[in-house]
Amino acid sequence: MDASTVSAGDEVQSQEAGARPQRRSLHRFANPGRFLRLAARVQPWLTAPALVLTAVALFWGLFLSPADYQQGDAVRIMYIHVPCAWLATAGYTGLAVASFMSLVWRHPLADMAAAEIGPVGAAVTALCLATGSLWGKPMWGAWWVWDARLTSVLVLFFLYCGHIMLIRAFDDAERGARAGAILALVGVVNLPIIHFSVQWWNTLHQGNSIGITGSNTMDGRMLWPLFLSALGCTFGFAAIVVARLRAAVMERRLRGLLMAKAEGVA
Amino acid sequence: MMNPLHYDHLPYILAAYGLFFGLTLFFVAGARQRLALVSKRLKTADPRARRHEGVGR
Repeated sequence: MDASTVSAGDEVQSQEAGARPQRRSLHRFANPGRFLRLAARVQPWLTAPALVLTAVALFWGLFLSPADYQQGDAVRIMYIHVPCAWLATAGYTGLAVASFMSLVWRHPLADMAAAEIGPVGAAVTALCLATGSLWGKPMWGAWWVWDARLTSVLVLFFLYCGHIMLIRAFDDAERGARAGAILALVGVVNLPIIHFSVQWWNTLHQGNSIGITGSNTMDGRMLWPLFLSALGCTFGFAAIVVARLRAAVMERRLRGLLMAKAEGVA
Repeated sequence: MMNPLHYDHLPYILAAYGLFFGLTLFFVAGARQRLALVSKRLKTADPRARRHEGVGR
């Protein structure tokens, strides 16, 4: 049985980690007991800003911000479509980082993080595609076009789905996690394709309206609710992933306890 | 403040926001339920499980 599955094992790990010289490194958070304590404390600080920021942003976007001079009121879909698109790629980056950590350090917490990010990331990607389709129909006259941006985001959705299925396709969970991690890292190649697709190819999807270098082509009355919505949704995404990860760590600990009891009885 | 009833393309806007809130509620409720259930079962299986880790709440 894995030592990290039982609470006694957590204490042993804590003591071992304490004896190491790199005590302040990131690895100390990989201890399940320490992670649970930290996550229980962090959870309300993710949930509260998510609720407040999203509520303010969506009210602002739906009722106070102006309609677009070309797109009319359909532009209000942007306040949920763009945060979902941002989270689809950011979530995949998180999945890839967890997969990398899982392959390098072989820590079960990294496997669990990748497994818990997957379904939430797939949901926001599906939401991005669905809201984009609902925005595209009145603007382009079509629910879907095989445009480079849309197609690359669809590929991202398939990558998420593939990861979810692959990690569950093996009897040995560790082998499944390794196969999923390799798939996740290979899929990273799709992220720059998504970002630059509107520059590399002639696409029906519009180009970037917001740039880090200050090349914004959007009015401030639309930019602020969009920024707040993206921030609120990011907090919400993190809150859901942390809650799922806490549950996964507890489930693992419970499995360990039940196995230990069963072995004791036998 | 704008009156949403006068928005053009209102069904598309409503469908998009409905999907967003529906899926968000589904995931939030699912995560909360899963956390509550496993936390309760863990507390039953291990009475020494620590409350400050969010167990048994």
